[in-house]
Amino acid sequence: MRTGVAGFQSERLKQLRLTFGITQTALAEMVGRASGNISKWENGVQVPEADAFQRLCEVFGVSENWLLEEQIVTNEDTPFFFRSQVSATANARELAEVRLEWLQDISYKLQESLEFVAVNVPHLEESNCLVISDEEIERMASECRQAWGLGTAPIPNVVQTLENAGIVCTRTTLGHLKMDGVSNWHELDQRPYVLLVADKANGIRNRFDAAHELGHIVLHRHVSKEQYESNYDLLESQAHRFASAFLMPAESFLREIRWPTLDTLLALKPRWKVSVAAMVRRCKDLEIINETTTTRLWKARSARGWVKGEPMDADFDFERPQLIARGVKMLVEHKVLSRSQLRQLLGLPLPTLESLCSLDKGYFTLPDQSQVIDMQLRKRTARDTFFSEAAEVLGFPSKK
Amino acid sequence: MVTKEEIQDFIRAQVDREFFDELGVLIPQTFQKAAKEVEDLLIHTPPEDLRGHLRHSLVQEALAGMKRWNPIIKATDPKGHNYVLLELGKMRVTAVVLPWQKEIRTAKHRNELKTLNESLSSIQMDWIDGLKHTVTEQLIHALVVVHAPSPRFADQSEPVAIMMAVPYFNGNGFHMDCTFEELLQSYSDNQATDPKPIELVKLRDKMRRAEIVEDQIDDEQKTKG
Repeated sequence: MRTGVAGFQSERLKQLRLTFGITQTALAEMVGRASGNISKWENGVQVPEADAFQRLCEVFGVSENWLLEEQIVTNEDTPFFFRSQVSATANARELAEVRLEWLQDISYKLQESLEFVAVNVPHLEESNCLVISDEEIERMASECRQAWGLGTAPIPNVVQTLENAGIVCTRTTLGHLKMDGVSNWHELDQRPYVLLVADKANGIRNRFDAAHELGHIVLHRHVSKEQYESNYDLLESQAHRFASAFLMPAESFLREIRWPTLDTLLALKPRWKVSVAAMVRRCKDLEIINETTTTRLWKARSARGWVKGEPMDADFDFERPQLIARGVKMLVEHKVLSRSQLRQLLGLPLPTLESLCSLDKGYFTLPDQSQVIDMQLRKRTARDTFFSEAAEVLGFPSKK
Repeated sequence: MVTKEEIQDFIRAQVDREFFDELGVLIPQTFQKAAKEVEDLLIHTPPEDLRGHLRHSLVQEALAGMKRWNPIIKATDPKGHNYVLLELGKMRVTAVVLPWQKEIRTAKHRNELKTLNESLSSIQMDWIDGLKHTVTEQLIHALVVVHAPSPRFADQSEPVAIMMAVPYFNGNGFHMDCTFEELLQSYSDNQATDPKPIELVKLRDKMRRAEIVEDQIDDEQKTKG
């Protein structure tokens, strides 16, 4: 007979352990069980006893129901698009994927009480990524700008633009430097989700990452998982092309570039909020400069030591996602749910939860405002006031 | 005798490497633009003439766009053209596009240079005739010479070479000439050592003496001949 906590979610235990970056043996020690047990719990062969289950919740700081509730499974399996360096480990990707799933989970739970912005994202119907041409990518980028009323000017805040279009975004640290972002169309609520990794990036790079993920959302809505795996490089380059077309539309950007050199491009950096490298790439894509000039620019760039970091990189603030944070705050302020109730509902470990929701550290641990009962001093009637006050006695002036 | 290294040292001390990096990227672009424009504009007539004009104008235009280095746009004397002057430390820099096969020669070939100078004087009056001016301002003049390819050459979108030259104070020859690559290489080679560069006054006097010696040798050869 199987004993233990019924409905234990083995998958979630594994996700948690990977997120915390601890081994099965280490976890076993924390819980006071053999590492073999952990492995069995994770594989779903066995479920933990009540006391071990309690201990697990304490170790990870999650609510009990989170480890018990079934994950929502959709019929369609949409691919997760990663922006990462080739050397990023499978572990890093798994971590990022799990985070995005958690974000979807949070958003799904919040949507039970909140109405999110309707999704307004133009996207390609094409399911074969091999036939997506550069012209089509440029067209989609300008279609997005048109749909969102952006004109052809530089975009002040990319993340906010995405959120206004109904895309749920978050920025979080993963502990992996080679990962930049991940995005996914969630089939359940037909809504795109974007996770930006904040580990190494600067504000400028994060903007480009966001635009890159938008590229996947717009261009690769119907691309299957198999296609994604076999055409990874192509899909990445398409998303890149989209990002630069979206951030630097040909018609307006071209007008501002007369002589593409490092100095002139650098002068445009604060206005367009893109890196010089991205601008060089855009100039090449738009055929303002030929192959040799591009090589010269890259060489000069590395001679100036800009490969490690360009000037002004640190001058730009990170764009902070606000949608989820605003949702949470709204629920708390309108007294739909208290902080502790929300925490219980969302269940995730506190630091992870706060960072996924883009809330300030310690938001959930703040005390819920205690119910203050309105009390007022009783008003006295005019008569009471008249009699209770001691009258001033006027003295007669003495005769002299 | 002033050595090439001495002058290069001096240039390095006065001018930031990034200036030459910028120029190295800019100047080829002027040729690309000129070639493309001419191709678009002219169908029936030979392109050389317009291309030459465009190259000159665009090189000046590009230099004038280097705002970081405070370019000054000057009218040539006699009037009719413009050229751009950049003052970098104790150096003045101007640029000229040289027709094909007209190489910068040493003083030995002064006779041939005379014709070359005359051909350039209409657009580069100041650096050839304005010698007193240069001396009083205590500046050393450096000339960016862009070599255009022969008109018969298939690829007109790239200059054959970009050179850096320091002309004589009397404009009749050159103390030093080297390619851009050579100059940039000297920047990277001397990054670690950083020798103390020669003083302007010393260098100038040395250059003057060298010019006089060259003149004398030249005169002697002439009398012999």
